[in-house]
Amino acid sequence: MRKVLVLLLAIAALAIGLAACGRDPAAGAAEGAATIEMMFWGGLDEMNAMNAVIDDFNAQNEGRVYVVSGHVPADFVAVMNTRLAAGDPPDIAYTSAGNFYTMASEGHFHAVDDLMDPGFLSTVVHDAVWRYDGRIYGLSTAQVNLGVFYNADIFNRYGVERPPHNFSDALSWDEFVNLAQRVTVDRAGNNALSPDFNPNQIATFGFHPGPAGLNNFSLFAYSNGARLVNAAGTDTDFDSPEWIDTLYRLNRLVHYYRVTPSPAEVEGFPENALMNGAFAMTIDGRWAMMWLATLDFELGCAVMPDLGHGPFTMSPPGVTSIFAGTDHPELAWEFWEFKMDVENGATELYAGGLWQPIVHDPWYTDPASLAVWTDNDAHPPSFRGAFLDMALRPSQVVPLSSSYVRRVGEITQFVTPAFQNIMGTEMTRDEVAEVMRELQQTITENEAFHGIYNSANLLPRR
Amino acid sequence: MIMSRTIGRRVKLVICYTLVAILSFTFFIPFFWMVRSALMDHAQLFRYPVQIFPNPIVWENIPYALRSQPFAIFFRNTIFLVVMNVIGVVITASMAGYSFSRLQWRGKKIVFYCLLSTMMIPGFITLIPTFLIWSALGFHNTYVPLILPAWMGGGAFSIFLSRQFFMTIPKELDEAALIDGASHWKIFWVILMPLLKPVLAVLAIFTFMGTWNDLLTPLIYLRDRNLFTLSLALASFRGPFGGRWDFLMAASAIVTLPMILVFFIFQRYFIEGVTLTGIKG
Amino acid sequence: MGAKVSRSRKHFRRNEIYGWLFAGPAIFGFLAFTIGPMITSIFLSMTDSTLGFGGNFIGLEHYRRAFTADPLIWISIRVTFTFVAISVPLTISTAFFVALLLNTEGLKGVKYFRTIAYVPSIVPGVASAFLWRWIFNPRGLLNHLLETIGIPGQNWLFDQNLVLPSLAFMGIWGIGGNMVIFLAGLQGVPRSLYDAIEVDGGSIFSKFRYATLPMMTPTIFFTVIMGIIGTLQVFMPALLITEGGPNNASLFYGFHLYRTAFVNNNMGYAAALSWIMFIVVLAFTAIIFATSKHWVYYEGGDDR
Repeated sequence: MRKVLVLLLAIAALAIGLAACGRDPAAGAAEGAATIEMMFWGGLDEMNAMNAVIDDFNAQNEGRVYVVSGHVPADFVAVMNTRLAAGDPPDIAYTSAGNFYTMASEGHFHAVDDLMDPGFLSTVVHDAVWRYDGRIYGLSTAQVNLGVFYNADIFNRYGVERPPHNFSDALSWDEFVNLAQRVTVDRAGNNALSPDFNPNQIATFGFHPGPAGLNNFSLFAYSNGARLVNAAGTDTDFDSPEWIDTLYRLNRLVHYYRVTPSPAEVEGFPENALMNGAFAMTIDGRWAMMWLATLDFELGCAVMPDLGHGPFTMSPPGVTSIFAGTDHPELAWEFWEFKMDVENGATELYAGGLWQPIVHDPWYTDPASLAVWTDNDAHPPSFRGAFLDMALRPSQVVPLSSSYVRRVGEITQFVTPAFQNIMGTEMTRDEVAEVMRELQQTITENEAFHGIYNSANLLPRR
Repeated sequence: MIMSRTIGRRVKLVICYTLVAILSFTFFIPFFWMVRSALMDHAQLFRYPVQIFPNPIVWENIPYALRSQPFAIFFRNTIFLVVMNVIGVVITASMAGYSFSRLQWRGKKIVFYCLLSTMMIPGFITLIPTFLIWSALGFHNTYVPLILPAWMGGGAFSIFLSRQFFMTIPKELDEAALIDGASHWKIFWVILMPLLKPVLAVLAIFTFMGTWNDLLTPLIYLRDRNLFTLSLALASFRGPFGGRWDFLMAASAIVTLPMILVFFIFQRYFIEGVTLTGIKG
Repeated sequence: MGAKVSRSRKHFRRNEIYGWLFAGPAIFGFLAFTIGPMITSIFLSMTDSTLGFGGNFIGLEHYRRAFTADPLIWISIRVTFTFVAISVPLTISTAFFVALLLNTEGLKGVKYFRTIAYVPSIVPGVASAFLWRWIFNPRGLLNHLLETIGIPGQNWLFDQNLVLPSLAFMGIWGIGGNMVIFLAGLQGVPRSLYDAIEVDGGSIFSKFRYATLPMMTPTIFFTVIMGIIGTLQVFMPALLITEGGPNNASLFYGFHLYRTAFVNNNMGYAAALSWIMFIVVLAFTAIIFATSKHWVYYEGGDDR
């Protein structure tokens, strides 16, 4: 037994020596090529697609530039933090929207305004540009607007007209509720308007507004005239009448009209709930189309209802930035332009339904270009109006909270439970007001609001 | 008299077998659910009411999942890490356990309690500083940060466990050997280690399991895809916006198999029993 | 007692050297990879760092804030302690009794049963999280099975009152590790003890009470300590399954910490939170160690 152990120890020592040598990740580069590293996240499809883009770029630029693929399988933010702390940043990488401003303000990024061609900026969707202190430090990796998705088969089955996909046809709140009621059906087949409707045995809910949280609910709130930050920019505005009214309306959808499931009920819905008919309409992001397209039902896209100030949308993307420590900013930008082009390598990600391009001219407006990525099974015709047209209306886009509110995570950790609470319990208007006031008070008392970065990103008040 | 004892034994065995059967069924459920999910496509996976058995069985998930990433390389890498770690922990943890339980030296108690206290340190507090140290030494993107800790006692858990077990072995064995003039090293290797087979097997299994499934450490240190491990590959199936659940389950099922095999083999060391009982009897 | 007489000073010194030698690798690892980082993190907890290092020194401001201006801390402490109180006794006693069961004499095919009991522990974490989420889903397997035998389904992970018991219940499937430890320990209980009791006419219960249980106390001690320490730090279920909800009902301290560090980018405050946790864990462990003299029985141990 001793001999075996000694042998094993010897092997171990040898192996440690070998392992310590490691391998240079840039081993694939040709002689003389400049290497840049692209750090990104993504599941299987996104990872493979981005790696294909990188391989394409490397093939076309052999000997001159070599891009190292730095895919991070999990916990991207933790890995990024450790890299930054060690003073070893990548050249170009994704950043989560919530971290962008912290990192920009600490000087981690390299400005790209000078690297862009003049005129490029005007072709980019307005909220895909991320500025800090007057300069551009990031662009959204893709546009990923939120909107209403619905299961057209359900509407057909009950002879109900589909929700509209054009901005000008947006339903008023009451019309919307009525529509939802007509597609909320109990197990016996009665819809919510019928006198025999059994609210405890609902088979299909008419409308699911997505997980109770700041982003989704802001779509309603802004349409109702509410704003996240008060006019003075000193705190959040959750105790305003507009916010209270919005949450009350949402509460009524669940507990009075019964067209919406409560958080507990909805968490029970599996991912394919729309296909299974667990609900007829839902709010989700453009990215969901990637797997919705693989399912066996007819998908439709619609605009949000109008609570008084028009339907709203928002885009919660990841951001791409070039890092300050890079030796080759121009080359990194070259690669960036390459990956933004819809017709390079990542076509599946656009055509497949994951991303929208951030360059709207020509990709949203020129019919030929539009057809390249939307003329397929993943994109119903209603998509263009509900998502693309909405994305180009700056007054109807809710600014992403993490794009201007500092440390927004600290606020949301109070907001989400409060919203969940409201959606989960039947409440009167006063009770809702009470919860919202308490929420606002908690935020103020706990110094959770740390100010805003960019007042330029705030929507004007009505 | 004898009859009733035999019947008593029989009844006892029947009760035991029944309990074991119920337990086995219950414990099998997660694994069954994983395998069943591995053989379904997305539509079946989320059907309501729940579909218990895959129909049709989507065997293709397995080759598709395994081919979607270079699993052969990951498998080789993970095996390498596991072997290195198991050897390291088994040797150094038992050495430390011997020292803390058998040998008298000043400061022993303090050092032991300090070592123990390291278990209570939340992992992410040491995460970044440790990473900085390895980076400064130039060992990021190598296997050294993943292997060396195993050779430094393998963590407070292993040392604590080993010490506890050492304490259940009577000291008379040592003392007899000491009288015969044996060195500490000999006592450790020749006399005590064989008696430790159960705890060594436990350490081996835990280290195997910990290394096989460890996600955070390879995630932080490894950048080159050729060095990636199986756990990183599994994490890749899950994206920020949903994921390929069918492939994730299929790949996970395959990844679990070697561990089941290893456990099955190692557990005979429990059955073999400890020589100790022979001496006491 | 010839052994004692022959102890010389030389032997004593040899003991010292060998003591340090054998524990050497462990001590080195401790210094290099624990002490250093720990000291760094103390400094970190007194700065206002957001990402990585490089903040301004602010003294004990974070600690003040933790105790006076952070309601989530108290919620998370309550949640975590409740969870430990439910989960640790549940999982350790289950592991112990399963090990006892599988250790019964005359039981055939134990190999297979032991492996099956261990299998849930080795399902990879990512897969495991989603499996449990699907099983406990109100429209998932568990409710399906319950409803077929007439018990109404519950919201489990999405019900404020049921989420912690549900997570603790899930923990039972993870007893494979402790079961393995108990099995190893049971093997170490000398048969002679059982035989002696049998000769005196003792029953199964006497054997358990006077032989098994006392001999197993070191092992139980170990698993209880590890269980409490580990469970106080748990956060994976919150991260992967419940995200602290619903309405903060599963906001584990470890999850609050993780979120503060990596989502809210508040490294300084997170470092302070970890030190608070460290003190708490230390206190618990010290208490258990102190009381252990009264209930743990060591056969081969010398001093404590």
